Amino acid sequence: MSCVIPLIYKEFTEDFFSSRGAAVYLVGCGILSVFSLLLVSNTELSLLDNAQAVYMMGAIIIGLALLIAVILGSDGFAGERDRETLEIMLITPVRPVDIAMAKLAGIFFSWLIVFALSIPYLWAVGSTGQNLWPAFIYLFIAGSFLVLIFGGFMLGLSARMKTFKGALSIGLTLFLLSAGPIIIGPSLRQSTIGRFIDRLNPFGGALNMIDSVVVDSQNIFFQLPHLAVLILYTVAMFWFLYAMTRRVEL
Amino acid sequence: MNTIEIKSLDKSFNGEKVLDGTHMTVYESDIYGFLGPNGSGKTTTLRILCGILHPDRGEVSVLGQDPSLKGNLLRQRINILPESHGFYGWMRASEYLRFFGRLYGLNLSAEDCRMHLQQVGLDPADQRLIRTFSRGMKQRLGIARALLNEPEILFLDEPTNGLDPRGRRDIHDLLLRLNREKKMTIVISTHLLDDVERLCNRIAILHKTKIQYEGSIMGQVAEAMQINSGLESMYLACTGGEKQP
Repeated sequence: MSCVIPLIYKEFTEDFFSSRGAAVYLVGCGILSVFSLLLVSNTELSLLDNAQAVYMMGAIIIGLALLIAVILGSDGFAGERDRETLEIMLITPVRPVDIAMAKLAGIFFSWLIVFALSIPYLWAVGSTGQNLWPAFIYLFIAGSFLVLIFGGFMLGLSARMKTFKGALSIGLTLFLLSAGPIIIGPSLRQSTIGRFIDRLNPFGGALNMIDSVVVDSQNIFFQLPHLAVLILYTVAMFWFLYAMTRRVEL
Repeated sequence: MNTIEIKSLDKSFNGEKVLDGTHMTVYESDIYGFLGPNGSGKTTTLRILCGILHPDRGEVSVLGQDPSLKGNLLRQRINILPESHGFYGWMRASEYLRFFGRLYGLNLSAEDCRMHLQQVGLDPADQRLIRTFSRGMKQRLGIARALLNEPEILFLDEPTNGLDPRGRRDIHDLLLRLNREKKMTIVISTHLLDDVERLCNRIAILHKTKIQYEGSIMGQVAEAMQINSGLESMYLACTGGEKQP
């Protein structure tokens, strides 16, 4: 465990104090600014119910956090392999599983930063309506699970992929597939197939939970099935990550 | 006492054999030269010995342990300077050593870092970002990192790559001192026969997936040295170049 702390420090420094980290969060703020401005000032979008606007903003924040998690997860092992720094990590007494856990902690920290940056935007969009505080709480819970799930799965894959580009293209494909609930639209989501995909999809589960809390004002008992899906995926992710990083070769 | 023992080692990549029935024995306090042309499997062998690659078949023992099974424990007692050791360019030299020190359970002070850098002649650059280092400076820093845990066995893959003649001599002197004073076993994979002649007491020549020659540099090779150009002649004979007269 003692060797995991310097690894987490390294991940944190690499992701947040580098020019790359600053650029990612600057772009993220730009995206959130554009969407929040549209939601409060665009003639059509400003006519949306306030709760609906908060839900949309929540979905955008989660989408952004997942995109960052997919990029960092893909970079985890495959990027180090590309930069020829993986070998010097593997020749230390640290287990590859510990390296993976430190990288997952780094990804989770990135979510904390995105969440902190998104607070003023969500406030700007939803301060005049109801359910803003539940929106913050459930956005944090759903985002935390999703970032761990996507970041962890991508780390596991990148441990077996030879290049960052290869890992990233798989990650982005998975991201787009799971973002289906947003893309396919409300009517398709009501069909049998749509509902089936929604139930199985962790992204869908998270968005349904935020929708249920923010738009429908439903209490925590209605959220348990959505939470169960997220917890199941999180457990599966930890198993997958362990299996993929138990033995990492160059 | 055998520090490293390899018997009938096989390793393939994508169906192509890189090592085929390789055998090798390194004794305690040896400075062992590992020679062979590009792609002959030297780096693969070193990676297997460190436990970061797993053999397809064969027995490998390093300090009495199997690196495939006890790799983490073993890596506390050994260290390696890989051929392509990428660096974290955003770290400073002393920060780099402190970071790797902590991975070995060492809490290095600024003074300790300076001392480690001093032994490879890098102490004036301890606060410089690694991305501003020349190739030779990075090589020296890599050697300082490899010596952090005072390993019982030190594996060096092309250790004098990128070093100027003075730098090479300094590293030779350092390795000879470590071997003499700390009884450190050193395995050097290199193309530079000068390095081997200056440092090693035993050598192995790996070619076409097999060890073509293993033995003392003082015995058989000394004989060859009197006849022709020494180790170079021996190396070329083993690797299919010019015939030894």
